Amino acid sequence: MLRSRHMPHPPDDDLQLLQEAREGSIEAVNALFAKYGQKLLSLIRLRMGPSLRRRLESQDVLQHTMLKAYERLDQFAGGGETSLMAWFGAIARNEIRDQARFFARGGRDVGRDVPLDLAVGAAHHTLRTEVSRLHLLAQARLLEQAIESLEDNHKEVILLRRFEELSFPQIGEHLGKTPDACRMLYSRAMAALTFRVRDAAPAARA
Amino acid sequence: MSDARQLFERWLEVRTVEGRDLPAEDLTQDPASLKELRGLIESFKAIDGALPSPTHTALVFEAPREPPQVHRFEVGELLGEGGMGEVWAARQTSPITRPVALKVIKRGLDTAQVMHRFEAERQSLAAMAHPAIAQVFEAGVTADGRPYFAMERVTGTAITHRCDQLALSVQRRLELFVEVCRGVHHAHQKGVIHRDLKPSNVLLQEDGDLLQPKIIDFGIAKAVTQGEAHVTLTELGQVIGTPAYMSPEQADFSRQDVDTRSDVYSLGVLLFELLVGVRPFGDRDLPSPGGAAAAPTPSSRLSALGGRAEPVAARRDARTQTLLRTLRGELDWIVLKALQVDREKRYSSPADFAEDIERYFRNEPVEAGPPGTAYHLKKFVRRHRLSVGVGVIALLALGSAFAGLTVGLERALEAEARTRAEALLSQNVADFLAELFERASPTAELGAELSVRELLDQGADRIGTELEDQPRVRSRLLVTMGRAYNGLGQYEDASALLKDAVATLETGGADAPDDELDLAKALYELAEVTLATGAYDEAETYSQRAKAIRLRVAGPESMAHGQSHTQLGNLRWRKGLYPEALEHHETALSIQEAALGPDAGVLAKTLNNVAILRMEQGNFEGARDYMERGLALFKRDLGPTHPNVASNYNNLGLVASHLTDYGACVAYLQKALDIRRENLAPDHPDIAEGLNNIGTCLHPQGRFEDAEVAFREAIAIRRKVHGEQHPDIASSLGNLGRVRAALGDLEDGRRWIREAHDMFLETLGPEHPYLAFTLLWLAHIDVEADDLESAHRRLIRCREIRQKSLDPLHPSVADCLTPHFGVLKRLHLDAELGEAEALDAEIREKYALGPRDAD
Repeated sequence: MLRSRHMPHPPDDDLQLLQEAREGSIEAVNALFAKYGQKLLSLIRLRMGPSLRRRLESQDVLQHTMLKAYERLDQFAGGGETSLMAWFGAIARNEIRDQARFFARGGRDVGRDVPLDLAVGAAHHTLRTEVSRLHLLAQARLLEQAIESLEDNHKEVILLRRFEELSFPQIGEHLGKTPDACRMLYSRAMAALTFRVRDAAPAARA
Repeated sequence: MSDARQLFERWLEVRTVEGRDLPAEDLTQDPASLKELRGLIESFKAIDGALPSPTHTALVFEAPREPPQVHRFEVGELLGEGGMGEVWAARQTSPITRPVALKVIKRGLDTAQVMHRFEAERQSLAAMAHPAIAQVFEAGVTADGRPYFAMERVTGTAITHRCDQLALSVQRRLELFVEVCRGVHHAHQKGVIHRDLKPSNVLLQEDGDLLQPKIIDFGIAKAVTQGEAHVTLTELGQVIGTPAYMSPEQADFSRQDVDTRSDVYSLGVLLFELLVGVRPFGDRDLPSPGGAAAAPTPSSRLSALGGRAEPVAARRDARTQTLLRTLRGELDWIVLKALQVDREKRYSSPADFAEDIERYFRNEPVEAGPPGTAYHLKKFVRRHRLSVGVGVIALLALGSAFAGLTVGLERALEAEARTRAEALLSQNVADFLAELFERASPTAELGAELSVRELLDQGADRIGTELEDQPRVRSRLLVTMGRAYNGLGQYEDASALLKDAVATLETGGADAPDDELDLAKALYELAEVTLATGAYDEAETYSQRAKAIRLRVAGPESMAHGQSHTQLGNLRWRKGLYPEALEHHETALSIQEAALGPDAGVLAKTLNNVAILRMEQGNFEGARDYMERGLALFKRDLGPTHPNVASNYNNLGLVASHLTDYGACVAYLQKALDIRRENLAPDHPDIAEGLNNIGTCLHPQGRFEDAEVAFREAIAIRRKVHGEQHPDIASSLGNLGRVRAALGDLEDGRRWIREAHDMFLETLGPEHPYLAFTLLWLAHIDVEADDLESAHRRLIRCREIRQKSLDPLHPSVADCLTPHFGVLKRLHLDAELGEAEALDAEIREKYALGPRDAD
């Protein structure tokens, strides 16, 4: 099946880093991980949800995801239609699923949860100015809680679109919808998210 | 839903589907709705900006890097940045001035949660105090409210890199690594797991020649203890950036929690890299969760480097082959044990890891060693060599006797068509020995390592009870064990076993050549033990029997025959029959040279023997030549700290003393004693010998108090070893008496020397040259005490003994003459004075000593 490319290529420097990583440069691997780590961590936290987060450290899942990605660098078709982030996201999804199964079997002691700094690393300057009176972390946690309070299909489409960087046609494949339906779903999801944020923390408004 | 919210949904739909932002005014004119709509759009844009997106990935917000303002600190440049904090170079100005590294929390992260995590880190870090861990001095809050830690500033380079630059040897690297292990262990005891040990976190700090490893960045440590402190402090980029050092369970945490053994794994990777310059797995070939691959050995990884191995070895001050040899075996095993996929099979702690390396240093079996018996046997023997000193060869032979035993049995099986049952029994014998040595392993079930003595006792008991029906095997084992006891100075046990062996062979009707040689061997060993106990006549009987059998069965050119000559030479020597002793040793030397050539290592001991006898006969220069030849061979074959090297230094010290170079004497003897103290039990006879000899060189330098201490220590050891009566005890007693007299206590001096004299008489008989010493010393005291008649008698006796046992014109004879002149003058014995003066002149002429100084 031929699919159109909606998402940008990995930037040239990412391709360069990937190539170097494949050739065994640990520095290149570090650079890639440093660049994508925060975003992936946020994704992992959201995918895990509060209940799994009480049992698992998202940082640990992140590390395992990164490690697996590292081992499978050769399998990533860099420059194709899938972004690096989508690829990482898919590995993370599997990782979380495996972990969740493990816990379903009752395999690990629980009681650890360290909330983390959602999107703080990725927060860009606009937000910084916008909420300058607030702690970024407080804002990020608010956002995280808001996303988690969304209906499942809203949450999922935001994760796929914003974190895994999938195109709408790719999202459509995941969700069994047309790309246009996905666009509408995403639009409604973002609106719902905006409402949740405003309802949860009126003080966050500028 | 309000109108404004519906309008906002519409606005967002246009933006999402059509990719454009409608002006809010296009959607509503109602001021209240418009205001709410604008607020929603503003919130949305903030949220949109906060969420990641492909175009935002490169726009990671970075806090401006302005130096923090901290009371009592002058902050300099930014050193680095981690997931949570920045590290600044700074100088503390009060209460003391010192350079520090300031770790300051990033702007924007100072929430209560992060504060809490830092608090957890601060507590665990502050609890640690170890030279190998960068210390935390204090913590506080910056002017703009960010927490900070002032830490020891480590100026160093990654340990692997710096070791390479300094071309440090494997030994030195291991020593440094042991310190790292100790540091990590200390942290573990404080409940802190590092979780990110890697070269860039283990720096080598230099202070002159002093190298100190420093583990930094315990900031990601995770408290082991449960409860409040149970907080993860993982810094993102650092951990995930270094999978190469990560343990399999860190990579597959679903199986189990990460614990201290995870650090052991990382330490294993670090050691691997220190040893061979590369990590166990290629960067792409990591231990994978679940099916983690077994790590290769360092030596095999080095071999696989091919041509690239040479620079690696050079950076370890070695050649490739040498480095490979060093690594193969124990070091390979030690590293592999740390790198076990199953953490249960790793060292349970960094301290255990360090201790195994130290076992390697001490030549003890390492915990990581394979369960096989050959290893333990080899290791046992090697360690023995160090622990029994000059008796060393006995224990080396313990190993070869074992090997020879099995070979001999095979031959016997063929030649005599022994029964299958006996073959099985023979195998049992081999197993018996092997099992015995295995007990020396630190992992053996008894827990503590058995002492050599305990081990032998067990063996001796079992030989007695389990091998009754195999006399030849039994006798060989008895001889082997007897030698081992002898090496340990346990003469009674040794003698009993060896007599048992002789009896076993004699009653077994030893008539086949092999049997006869076995008997000769048992007799020879029995003579060795008997000689050591001071019963020289009895020893001579055994020794002569052994020599006769060897001459007849093995032939005059045989090494065994030569060995018997050496033994007889030693016996004659102990009896004071120096010319005969020299003859025996020279015969042994010529047999050995003919059989093995002039550079054979075996010659070293014989050269030494000939040298000492030359020395005894006054040929000091000739003695020194032989000694130096022997020393070179010992050093070449055995290394610079071998016990035999110590013996050689000892002998060179004696030569120096005879050449009256007492400074050199003390220096040589001190070298000998240092080696012996390092290798031997504190009450080993060789240490007593070293102490005694140093005392004799300290005395003529006027260092009487030092000499007295040395002699008393020597006496104590010798009494412990030899009991009440022994010539060696007598020597030290005499020396002590002399030094007491020199210190002014004539009566005390006389008492000690008399005791020595009587003991020499008792143990050596009235003709022994050692008596000349005690007579001479007693005469000196007589002179001091104005008992001239007694001095005269003693000095005459002194002269006679020396002339008889040494040589009529031996320079030592002159020692007896020196004090005599004054005595003879004061007694007005003019004829005898003239005679003495003539003899003195003759000796001086013979040895070109020049005229005697006026007294």
